[in-house]
Amino acid sequence: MSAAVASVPAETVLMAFAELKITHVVTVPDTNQRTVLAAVADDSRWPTVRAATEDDVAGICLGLWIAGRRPVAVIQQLGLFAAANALRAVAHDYAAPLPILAGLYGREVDRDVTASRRSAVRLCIPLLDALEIPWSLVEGPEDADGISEGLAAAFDRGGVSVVLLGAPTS
Amino acid sequence: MTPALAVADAVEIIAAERGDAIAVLTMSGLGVWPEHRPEDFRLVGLMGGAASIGLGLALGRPERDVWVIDGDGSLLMQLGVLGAVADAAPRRLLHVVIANGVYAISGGQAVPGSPSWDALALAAGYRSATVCSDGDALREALRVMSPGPRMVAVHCADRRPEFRAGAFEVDPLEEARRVQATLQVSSVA
Repeated sequence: MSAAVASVPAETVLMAFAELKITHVVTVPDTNQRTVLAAVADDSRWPTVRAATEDDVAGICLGLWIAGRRPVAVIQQLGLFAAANALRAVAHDYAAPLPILAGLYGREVDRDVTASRRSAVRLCIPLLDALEIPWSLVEGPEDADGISEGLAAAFDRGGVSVVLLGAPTS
Repeated sequence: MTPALAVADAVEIIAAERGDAIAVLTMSGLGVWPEHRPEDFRLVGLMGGAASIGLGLALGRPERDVWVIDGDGSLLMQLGVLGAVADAAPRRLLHVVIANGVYAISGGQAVPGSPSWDALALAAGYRSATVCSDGDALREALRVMSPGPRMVAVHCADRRPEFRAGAFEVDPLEEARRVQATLQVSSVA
């Protein structure tokens, strides 16, 4: 895992949403994904559902999926900590597809994620591992294919999958 | 106000009035719900999640009425959902709160505080909100046809209801897939 991180264009994320036939973007805002959220807001293909907490994001996505839709969650990684019980339920009890794009807020560019001085960065992957939730790390344009692949895993396998974005999107 | 309405009596009225609405059930409301239809979603193991799941259902199936039968303790656990519901403003969502003031399932411990549910819902941006404490008022409130999101909170006696046998024995995996399949069939029909 390189410590060098670079931006992924918002357009790349939107292309992944289109490819995966995403119907709704459910979000608690994320600093790293400001350009994604702005682009989604200007794009009529994806209604945005705004929530106050990531637990509610998980519940809204579950309801949308039961209703036959294909939502994606756009959140910050701190919300993974906040929503641990909801993620556990959706991932394991319901095995409902919940693709999550989570910005790694506070990720330092000069060190590996696993060596971060910030617990919210360093413990994020161990948290997902503890919840048995698959994840992938996108650190720059060279990893861009990982966005679509990582999000698709939720639909392919059933359950939660998380794509962590190490840098702000451009 | 001394609530005389038992939870089971309130729920009987709600079930009788819901027409063809999809019901999202949790906590005491689930424990005494008289008759489950295939499109009823019974939530266990995710306390506080009923309103967000109901919101997702209402947004995903805007042509259907969705009734969330919530508890006061469970809604307090995720109170921020009021903002999400109000913001998305699904016109056919009714949020019913069984306000019995206790965590009935865990043994009847008191819920913290005694919120003014109508004030909370209206302040969050619900289009209408009503609090009632007797059967006639509840029936009248449920029959209002104005656009949602609406809230009807019903004050009930804080006695622990007699839950129906097996009411909480729900397999989440099967539950979600059955409701999804039922809704898919009804949308094609």
